[in-house]
Amino acid sequence: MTADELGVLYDWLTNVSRDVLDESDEILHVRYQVIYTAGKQMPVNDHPNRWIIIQQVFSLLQTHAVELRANYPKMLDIDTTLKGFPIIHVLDSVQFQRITSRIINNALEGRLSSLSVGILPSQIQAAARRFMTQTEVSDVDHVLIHSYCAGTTLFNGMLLLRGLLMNDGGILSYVLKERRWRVDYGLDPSRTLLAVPYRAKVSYINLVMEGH
Amino acid sequence: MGEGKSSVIVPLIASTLANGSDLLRVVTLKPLSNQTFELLVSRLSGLANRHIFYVPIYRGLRMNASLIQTIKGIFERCVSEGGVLVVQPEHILSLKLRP
Repeated sequence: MTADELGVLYDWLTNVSRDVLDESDEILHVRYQVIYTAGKQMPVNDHPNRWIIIQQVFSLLQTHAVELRANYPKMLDIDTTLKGFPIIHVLDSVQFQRITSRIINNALEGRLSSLSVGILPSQIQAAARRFMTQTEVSDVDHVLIHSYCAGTTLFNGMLLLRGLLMNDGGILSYVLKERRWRVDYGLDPSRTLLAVPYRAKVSYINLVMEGH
Repeated sequence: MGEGKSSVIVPLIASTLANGSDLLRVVTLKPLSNQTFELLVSRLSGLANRHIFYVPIYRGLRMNASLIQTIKGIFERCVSEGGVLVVQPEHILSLKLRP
């Protein structure tokens, strides 16, 4: 009874109220949002492909990193002393781009079993490659990709790959290139006998807020 | 700071938007709530004859039919008089989550 009246009051309020937020950046900050579950349980978006694709991308990443290190030993750092997935650091942007472009080649060849980008027409494939590596996507590419696969699992998979592989700001680029600490820089006798760490654990990283 | 967002623009917009058909709520942070209330009183009440309302709803409030009517009455008066309601985010949520 009371609940019904409250419901009526709340609906009325929703209809007539007009809110002015003072200090809106504080009021709307994520840390003050109360989030409750509502409705029926449902699978996470793009379930289960999002996990499978990530696993497959990781195994490709491992293969390519090992191969590239054989050719460029100074530009990649692979630590296999611990069991499981090796600790990989990519110390050079060009090598990172090589790895991502190889992974995308594999994807376009159909090596990612749950993401069939291989069946796309070659024109779209080219657009998809740019979409997955470049931070800025041109309108032409966007329209092309959208017209072809908007709303499909294919598009979700491409978004996932974009998030992982994008050359600046992608997750892999951040994890493999930026996250380094406790680096033993050692000595560089050709330059100086002073060991000067130029990027240390305490240095400010501009992605601090991403913890949310 | 000091550009007049809270002291000039908020009262200006509040008095314009409280047009007799909408319930104008100025949402402020808890620590600024008193200050905003006083500010609106000093800027709008005397000059523009607008009432400033403050209805702190909290989750401990025992709701019953007469209380709901009272609250609704205050809100309706606020709407029809072109008054301004000062609220904190907690008040909005408390009303929403009140079982």
